[in-house]
Amino acid sequence: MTLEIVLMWLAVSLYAASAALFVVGLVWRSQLLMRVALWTAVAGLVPQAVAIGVRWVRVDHGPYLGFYEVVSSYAFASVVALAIIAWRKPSLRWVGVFVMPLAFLLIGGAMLAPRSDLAITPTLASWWLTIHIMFAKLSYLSFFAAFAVALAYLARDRWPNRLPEWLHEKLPGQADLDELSFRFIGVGFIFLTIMIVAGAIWANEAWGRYWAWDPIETWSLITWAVYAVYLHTRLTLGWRGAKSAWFAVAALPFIVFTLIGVPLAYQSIHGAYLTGY
Amino acid sequence: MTRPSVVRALTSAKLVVGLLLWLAGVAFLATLVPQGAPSSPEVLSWAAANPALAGVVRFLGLNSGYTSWIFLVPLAVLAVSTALCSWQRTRTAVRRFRAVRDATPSGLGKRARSWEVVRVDGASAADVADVAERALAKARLRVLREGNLVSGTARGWGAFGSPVFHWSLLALILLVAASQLTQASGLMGVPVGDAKPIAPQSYGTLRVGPLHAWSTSPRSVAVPDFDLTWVVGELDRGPTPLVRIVAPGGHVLGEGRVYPNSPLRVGSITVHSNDYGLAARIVVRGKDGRLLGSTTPLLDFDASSPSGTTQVPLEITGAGGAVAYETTVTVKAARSGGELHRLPKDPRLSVTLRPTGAEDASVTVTELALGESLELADGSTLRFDRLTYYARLSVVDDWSVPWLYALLAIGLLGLGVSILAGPRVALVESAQAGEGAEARVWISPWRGEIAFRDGLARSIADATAGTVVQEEES
Repeated sequence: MTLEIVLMWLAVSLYAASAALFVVGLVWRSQLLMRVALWTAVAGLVPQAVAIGVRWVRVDHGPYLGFYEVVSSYAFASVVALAIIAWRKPSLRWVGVFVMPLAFLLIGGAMLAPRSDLAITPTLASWWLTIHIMFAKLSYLSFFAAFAVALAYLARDRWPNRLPEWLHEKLPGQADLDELSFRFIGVGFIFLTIMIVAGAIWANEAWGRYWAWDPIETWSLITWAVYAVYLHTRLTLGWRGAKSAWFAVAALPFIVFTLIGVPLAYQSIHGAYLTGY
Repeated sequence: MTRPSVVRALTSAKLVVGLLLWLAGVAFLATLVPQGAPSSPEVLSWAAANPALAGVVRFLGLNSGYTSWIFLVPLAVLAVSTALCSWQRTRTAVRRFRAVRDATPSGLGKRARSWEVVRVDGASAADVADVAERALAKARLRVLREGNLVSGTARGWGAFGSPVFHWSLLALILLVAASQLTQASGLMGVPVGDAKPIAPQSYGTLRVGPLHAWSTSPRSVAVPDFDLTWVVGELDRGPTPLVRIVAPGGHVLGEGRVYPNSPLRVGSITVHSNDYGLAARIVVRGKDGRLLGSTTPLLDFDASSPSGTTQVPLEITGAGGAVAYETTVTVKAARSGGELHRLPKDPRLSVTLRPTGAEDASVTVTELALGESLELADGSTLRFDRLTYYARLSVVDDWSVPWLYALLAIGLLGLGVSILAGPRVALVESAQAGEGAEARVWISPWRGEIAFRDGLARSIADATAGTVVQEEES
């Protein structure tokens, strides 16, 4: 337990430092600070990954039971998403200005929650659970990446003269950003659909019904409908640019609320995964 | 409205967007109020606590939000719209598939409207066309060349992704509706060692669709064995019955241990284990020892019924005619946290008998050990014959589940193809321009992948040291 907690606090500290460096880097318009901030975030992934691994071995399941495990793993996923975006498109590393404070808040909030070990129950002992959770995380990652790229688009679109010169030069073209955001949402929508389908099949195996309009099921469908609307506006109504980007930004709270907020706001059979049982 | 205008309205993307948002909105509102029948305690207490909103919620049917008219009517319109759109998309997909399959550079040249232009100084049009050919091949397109016109096409079959997804979605809506109309599902308590036919009288609670057809020679659900702990993969799966589905002739159709994530499936029947309790068998015999009747009350032990008490009607037809009793049966059992964790070592059956409808009749109260009998007024005897566990099974007769899974898989495949592998058509036309050459890059407008066109133009510009100069309409 001690090693895990020490590692987690180390990750919290590095994420906090990274968040601060990103903000300072943006204010001072310093590429160097941004680069340091990114590497600090990546450095924070290492102790968190080890902590997750240590806990995984001890409790014999992945990070998906209880507020501490679930929320801290979303922080981990957010930083992984940032690292992937920065690796594939180095000019987008500055989205860490938004990602790292959020990751810090998530992991910090998780550290304040009870960290008791929750054992796998017979209902949870299913491969469908693994698939369900894996695609929940992947959909969150994709939508979050789309959100970050859309923010980049909007920032340059609305404040073309306020962004640092180097950022203007380094950022991909607006058309590229626009399409990248759409692609992330397209992939995220597929992952979200797989998550819902895997969850329905798992519910049928475990409880004997595949859909019961439980709040979290309903909210996942609401989120699915919101992103389906995005795809329709994009592919059928021809929305592009700022309108599409605003939609990508506005849609993110739906997936965040579905994955983290619903179990806290509603009484739900699903709530146990976040609030314990 | 004329027929075409109705179709146009129903296939409008704006309508679909509106319907999706409406359904999402209703679903959201339904999560804010308790779901259930108007007479259910939760609904009544919410209405009492929120008198200002209760009327509106009742009018809109939000307490049964997902079966209310404000949900089902838009869903039906969405289904019709999806059907019409699927048909349109299929026709479009066939056209696009053919367009990709039969595309020629000169044919595409007649359709191209919006171009990205790359200017290359000091190069010939043929050199630029060579570069374009390589760029299109690198983008994994099938390349055709007619002089300085180079076309690239790929994934014509990708055009079918969207119609496959939308047809699957429509089929899914219809399948779920058909399943609701034809399925029978409910809870059935089966004592260990007993069997019950899959028929309405066997269920404790039952939900049956109006089109469900009960078999005249039903299969049975038997529970030959039961264990309070059942360890699989080092994890205790909890109380686990062995369940058997038996054909009318006695042939075993399927058998298995039933616990969470391990239901028993035989044809359209799916059996899950829901709970368990005790089953006390009571046998009534006449003075002459002849069997007059028997009953097996099921006793639950949980927070709401901690004493293991149940009431069963008992009708005994003896020499003096039929006498109906209101019978209360209690078995006290060892419990842990409200749950039964073993059979009582010395089970005692408390029986209270009151002749039905006779308020002032004498009430018999007695306690019987296992095997003991109580003599009734007419000389017949009531015996505590057996005590065992019973398994409360969820027995669902629904043919649609495998089809549902198949449709979900097909729909996902269509969605994946639609989003990730749509068809691609590109054309590069090279021509001499001044001292150099000009490459004009065009892509089909189906998906509006401007970044793909920009990428092609950039790769041609990079390979020729040219410059992307402008976008032009023609």
